[in-house]
Amino acid sequence: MYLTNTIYCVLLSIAASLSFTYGIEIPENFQKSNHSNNWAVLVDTSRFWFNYRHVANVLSIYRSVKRLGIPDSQIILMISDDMACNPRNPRPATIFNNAHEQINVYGDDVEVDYRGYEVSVENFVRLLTGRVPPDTPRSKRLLTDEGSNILIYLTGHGGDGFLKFQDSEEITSQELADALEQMWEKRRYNEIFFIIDTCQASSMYEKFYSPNILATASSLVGEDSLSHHVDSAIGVYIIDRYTYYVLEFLENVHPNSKRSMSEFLAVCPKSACLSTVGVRKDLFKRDPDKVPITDFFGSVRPVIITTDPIDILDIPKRKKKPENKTKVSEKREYLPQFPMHLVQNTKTG
Amino acid sequence: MGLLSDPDVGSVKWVKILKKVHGPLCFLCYVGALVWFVMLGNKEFNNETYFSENALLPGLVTNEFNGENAAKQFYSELLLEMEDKYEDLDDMPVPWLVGKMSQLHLEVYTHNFTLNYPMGQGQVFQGTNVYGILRAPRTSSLEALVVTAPYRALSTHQKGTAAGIALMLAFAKFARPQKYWAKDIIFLVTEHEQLGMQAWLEAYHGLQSDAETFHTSLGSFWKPGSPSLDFGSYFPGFGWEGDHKKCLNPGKLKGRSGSIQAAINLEFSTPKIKYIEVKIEGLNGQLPNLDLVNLVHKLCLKSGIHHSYRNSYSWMRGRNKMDEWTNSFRTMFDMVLSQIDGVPDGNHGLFHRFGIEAVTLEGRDAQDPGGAAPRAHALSTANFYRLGVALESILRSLNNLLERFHQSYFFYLLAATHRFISIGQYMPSLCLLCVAMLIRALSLWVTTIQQDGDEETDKQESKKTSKHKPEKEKDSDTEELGDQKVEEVKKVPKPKGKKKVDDLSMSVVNIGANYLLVHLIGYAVMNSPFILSYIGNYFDKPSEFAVYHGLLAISVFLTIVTPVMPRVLRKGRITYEELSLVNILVLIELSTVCLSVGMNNFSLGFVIAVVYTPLALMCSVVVSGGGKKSAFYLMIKRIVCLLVHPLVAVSLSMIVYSSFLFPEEGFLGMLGRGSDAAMQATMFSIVDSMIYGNWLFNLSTAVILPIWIIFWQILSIKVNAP
Repeated sequence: MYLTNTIYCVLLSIAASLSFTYGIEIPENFQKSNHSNNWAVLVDTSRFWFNYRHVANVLSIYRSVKRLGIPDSQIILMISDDMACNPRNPRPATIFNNAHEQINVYGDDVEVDYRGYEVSVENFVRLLTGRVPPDTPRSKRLLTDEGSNILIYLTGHGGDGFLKFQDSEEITSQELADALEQMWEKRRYNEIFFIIDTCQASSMYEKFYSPNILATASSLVGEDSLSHHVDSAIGVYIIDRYTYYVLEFLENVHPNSKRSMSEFLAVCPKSACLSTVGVRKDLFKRDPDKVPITDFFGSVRPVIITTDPIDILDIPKRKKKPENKTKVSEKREYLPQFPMHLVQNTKTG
Repeated sequence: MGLLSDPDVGSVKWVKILKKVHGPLCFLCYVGALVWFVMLGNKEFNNETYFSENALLPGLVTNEFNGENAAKQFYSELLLEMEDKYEDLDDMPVPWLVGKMSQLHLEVYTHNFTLNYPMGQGQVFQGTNVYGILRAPRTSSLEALVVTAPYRALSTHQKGTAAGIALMLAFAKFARPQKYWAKDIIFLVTEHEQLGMQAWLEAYHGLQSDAETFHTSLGSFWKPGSPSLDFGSYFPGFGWEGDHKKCLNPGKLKGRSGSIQAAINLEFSTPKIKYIEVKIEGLNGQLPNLDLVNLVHKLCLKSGIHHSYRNSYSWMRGRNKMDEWTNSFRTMFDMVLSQIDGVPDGNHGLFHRFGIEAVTLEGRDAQDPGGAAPRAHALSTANFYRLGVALESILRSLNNLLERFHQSYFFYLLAATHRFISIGQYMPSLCLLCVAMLIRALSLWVTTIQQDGDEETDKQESKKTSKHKPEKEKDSDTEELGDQKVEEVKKVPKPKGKKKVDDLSMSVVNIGANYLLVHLIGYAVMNSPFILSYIGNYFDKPSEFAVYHGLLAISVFLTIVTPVMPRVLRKGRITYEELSLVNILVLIELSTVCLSVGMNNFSLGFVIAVVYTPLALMCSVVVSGGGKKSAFYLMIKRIVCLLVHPLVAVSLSMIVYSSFLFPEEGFLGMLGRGSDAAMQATMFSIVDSMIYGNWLFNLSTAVILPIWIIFWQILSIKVNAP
């Protein structure tokens, strides 16, 4: 009894001090949920200059999620073509998402993880399922766990039941659904919010069968997704309608916003999009009305609550290691994602 | 194939019906084909044009062209230069052009070429092209666009092109500092019209003077260096090859860029034009990709410049349906007529054979030698600014291209600036004509084998197989290859094996030998002009006179001699069956030729089919001993046959054409003009064939002439009734 009491006391005091110092309360939902971290996978699948708008789409979303708090290390950005360096670009080294050209979405702090021909169906599926080659750098891995909320945003050219990659191959809706199921089986996510902005986009999520997925698409089967406007100085269609209105909405969202997911799902009415936005909620257990948008767009920083005092004054002294330059540096590898060494009764090879 | 080998085929129901109705059926097909062709002009039968290529992004970009003053200055300077120094000369102001281009910081080169005129006394012409390359600033020189203008001296009777050159230079000045070019732009000024362009293109693509001409290098299986009959060694000092190997020496280019994706040819004599005529027809009737044509029309519209294509004017929209129909039909028909001769109607036409899409923009005034447009006076006059804007937006759109034009149609007819007829829509009319000939062939076949069957029942089986086999194989040969020479070579050995089973009334060897000989004659006629002009030189006659009259003499000679030919080659008289078989063969050959030519140049194939189908349907084996009536019919048939002789047809059409152009002249004057024109036309087609690789002359001598000879043989030989 005594022990639990003290624990409660400490917890309360920590919570109180947190709320006092930062003015932020830890939301109740948050404490109860399994959700412990946020990831985003943002993919532009099409290349060529006339698909400038797809790159602008994905970079705009990238900018928004980053502003809302997901760090670059947890954003996987895949861009198929380099519009900024395209010789046709009259504004070299920039990409804009609006004819006013106020924001260069290809600024200094953009980290593209997969670029050019690295954006392939194989790499995309490997990324999702975590079956990457062992020498893949961390920046190209989706290091999620069972507490991760993942935002997946895809844009490019699609058709009924497929999404085209690089003008040369395509991923089918079944393949994508199977990949997500594998993720679920490998406990790689807690919840997924899936956005796709292509023609006939809703066909891509119709095959999904894994739990905890909320999906939305810019158009229904049989509809085209349209571009929003032309930047006549650059001479291209600069952004797609759906993404344009999503951005308009996200610009007013802040890390502390109380906006719900259902507001996000209604962001582009048919009068604005000219195509019907499709939503699939049946796999998602919660009510989108009550899910804050920051569950997917914001970020949860890992918080560890401890009762043991940590002596921060005890600075560990650096030990001079004997130099062994002659030795071949030992090969380092990442720890296995799943803590196998803690599991008993298994033989590790 | 039960039809060909079944001995009871004569009694099958449809065969009976076919025999009864084939005459009206063929006639119906012929009329149907013509009706179909006329209907193509109707709005219901053709389509609105559209863009297939996504990459073009036409007209999305704001225009920034600011070179109006520069263009005006270039224009006046160029005119001054031409008047000062080149008043009486045909030469191009090369130093001026090089100087101006260098001042614009282009990479400037000159290119010299030489033409050894293939006919006559071996005159040598020389010329110089000037071109400047604008290198794309941020990418490697792998792809290029070409902006070109022909140079025309002041003394020429054609419209000048000074404004076109000035516009090009002003555009180069504007484009040079821009940083968005993804392809090099080559600014080219050519001399001697198409000759300079041909030389430059050949040099650009590395064709050397010792390489063969385009058509000889394309169609032959003959690898250079393989053993061959060399007539030259037997007759030293006489170029049997017609010397066309060396006729145009394209020289070498000092500077190159990447593969050319598209070209725009500018022909503006003055900036104050009323409208732009977009010219598309190229060598051998080849057309640029429809996307490029659409692009040009659309961007002209967007830049506020009136544009036209033949009878279709952008500012004239039909008041009623009938009006629209006649207008579209006239436009389409004009296009067909201009495609027949296969001569490009501008410098753009030579690009096509290198797989480069190109069009010519010709500026036209209200009273233009090219034809007066209705209500053109009321149009606002264009200026350098608008022309420059149009050129800029076309080139920026082309700059967006990622690969060569390949999405849209290459085979089409235009019914208006914004309406087209695709290959799938116009081919049925040509197919119907060929179907008429094939139905005729089929009905002849079933008639022949039935007569055989009636006479000799015991030998039936062997004969059927012997006849049907060569027939079948020949049929497939013609369809697959359409190449006369190969076909003939294959034909000869075949009948030999069958000799034993043949009886007296049917000798395939005799027929085959005659057939082969006739085609060899055609091939010889194709190669005759060089010898004719050589002989003409000997008698001090101009080569065009010598060639035309030589061909005329050859034609008369052939007309007299060829009917006797089958008799010389054999012992007995030719039989009815043999001649019927020849008739069937020639029908199949003609329809195959029409279809295969029509696949490449619809207009030519269609016109050949329209002219020759009546003859083919009329022609039948003549049985001796008919009444007066049949003699009269025979006379008519022979006259028709003589009228469609290639040379006669050309001369006649020229006479008719000149009577349209100069209606005030008398009959004799008309004849004189017509034959002069025919002389010129023949000579042009021969020279075009040698320099540019135009097919028309080769086709009409090596293919159409033999077919005509065979028809003439069939009509001239009387045989006994079976």
